[in-house]
Amino acid sequence: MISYASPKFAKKIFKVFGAQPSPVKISMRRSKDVPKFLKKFDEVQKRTARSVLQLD
Amino acid sequence: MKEAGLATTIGSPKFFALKAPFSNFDFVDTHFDEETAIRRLFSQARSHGAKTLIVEDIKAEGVLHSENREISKAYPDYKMTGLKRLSFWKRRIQPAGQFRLSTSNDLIGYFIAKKDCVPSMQKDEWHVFEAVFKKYDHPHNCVPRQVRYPVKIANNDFEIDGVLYCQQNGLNKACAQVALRSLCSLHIPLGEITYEKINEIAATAPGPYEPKNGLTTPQIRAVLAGFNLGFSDIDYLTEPPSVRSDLPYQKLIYSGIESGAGALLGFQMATRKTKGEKTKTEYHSIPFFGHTFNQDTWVANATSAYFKVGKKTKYLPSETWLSSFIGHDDNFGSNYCVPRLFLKSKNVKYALAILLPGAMYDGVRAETIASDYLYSLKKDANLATSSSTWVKRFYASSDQQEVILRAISISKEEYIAHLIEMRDWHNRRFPRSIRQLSELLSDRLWMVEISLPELFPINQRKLGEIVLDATRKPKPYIDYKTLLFARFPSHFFFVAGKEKNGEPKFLHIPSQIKSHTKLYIKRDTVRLSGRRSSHRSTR
Repeated sequence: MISYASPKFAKKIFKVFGAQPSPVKISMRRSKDVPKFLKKFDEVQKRTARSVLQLD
Repeated sequence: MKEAGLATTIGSPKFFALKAPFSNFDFVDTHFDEETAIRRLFSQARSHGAKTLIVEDIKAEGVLHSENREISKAYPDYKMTGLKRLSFWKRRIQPAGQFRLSTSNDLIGYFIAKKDCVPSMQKDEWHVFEAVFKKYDHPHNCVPRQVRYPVKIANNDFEIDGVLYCQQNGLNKACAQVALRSLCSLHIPLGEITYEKINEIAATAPGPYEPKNGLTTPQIRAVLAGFNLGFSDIDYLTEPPSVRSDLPYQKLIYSGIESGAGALLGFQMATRKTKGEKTKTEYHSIPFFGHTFNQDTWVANATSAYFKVGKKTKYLPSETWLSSFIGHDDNFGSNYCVPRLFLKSKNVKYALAILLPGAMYDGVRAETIASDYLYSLKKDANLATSSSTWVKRFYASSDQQEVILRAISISKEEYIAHLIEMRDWHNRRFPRSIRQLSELLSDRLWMVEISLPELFPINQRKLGEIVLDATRKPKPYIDYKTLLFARFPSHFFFVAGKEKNGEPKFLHIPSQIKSHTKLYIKRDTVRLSGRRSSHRSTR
């Protein structure tokens, strides 16, 4: 897998699509919703990893 | 090890015509002591229009012999008092001559009934060692991955597509072991999944182990790890109610099912209180591997259908149109539809989604991460000023956060094949060079499909997808390392490095696909056993 940061990457994109890609700047949104969700999920699963539940 | 389905026949098979006055009830009462799960298998055969039943006595070889050896070690007075293979056929078959003309297409299903006797426990009961029946043949009955299992009947070789069902015997296996054998059989040849091996691996997990009592969660994890299967699980038992609503069990189960990996659900049964004893709470577990789909589901238009990641992030998950999960309940039989909302979340104690090879995280995380990228990409001028009618419709819907997301675990080869087959509404396609995109992809991806109400449920089409690297686990903060690219009508956005502030740099490239395309509908049938190992995919 070619690193997406490498100079080879844009060349490869050109080869695949037959057109020059143009760089665009997109400022990512700053909502904390998803990081909070992922953190909560990780914490729950850390507790799950220590759990001992007996299933018949 | 020899699969149970291939066990050698003893004596001559018996043929029964399944027309009246033949009675399924009478037959099960007479030959199988009224066993409930066996009644269900006969009912499934009837619903498929079975015309002939073949009954054979078989030898306890291979996987069956392994089980007997294991039980004998634990119960020295054990003896097997019955072992039969029953198969159901679409055509009326007379003995011998006609049977040779039968093909696998005529086979509806088979099961192996085993009677285990332990006099010291006053036990002498039939159970279903294993069964495979064809799924209900309706387009809205979705089983993303089935296995083509080999079976020998009257000394002839056949194959049957389905998902293995197994039942507990209360000696060396309980519901957890049989559920795991069903799920493992989606990925591993049946001859390798013996109860001896399952119990041997489970015994390596910390804590006491008595196979007849089932498995603890560490033992379940040890068994899956022992078979090299990844998973994502949640134990809800000690979590506060908010976890049940923020991380609903249905989402985790669905993420395992929709990618064809399978899922396990543990839930609380009714509590029992006998005189002089404390109340006993029992937990049961069942495997899921499919779902039904209702394109006319009303709930899609209701607020409750949203999955709310947080105050500013919500979307419509594709499982909103799912009516029931399809799974087995070892107590009652195979291929049941369990309504998605039937099991109350307070009764669900454990949920587990199996991950396909190479995936380091589940579809719940993938979908959530994709929702964040989706709303960020809306800020791009190329997209915001796009002349594409479909991009404009995407903006109109996403402004109301009425976007549908559907996460599918997919290999890069499967994704490239999907792009090659892809046609938009005007039959436009990608150039052949799209194959070379493979060099830019990780081996395992999460493809999070983007669709809109009315485009998704009935048309089963999508606008594009957010493609994530599934081989690296996302950090609990957005580090932008999992995003590979996003595809919209007329537009591709590739991540190409990082800005100084850590945000991704993007490369924009026009896409030859300018409108909506078919969803990726996974319907695989894989052959895992024997010398031949092949893969057939129907989309």
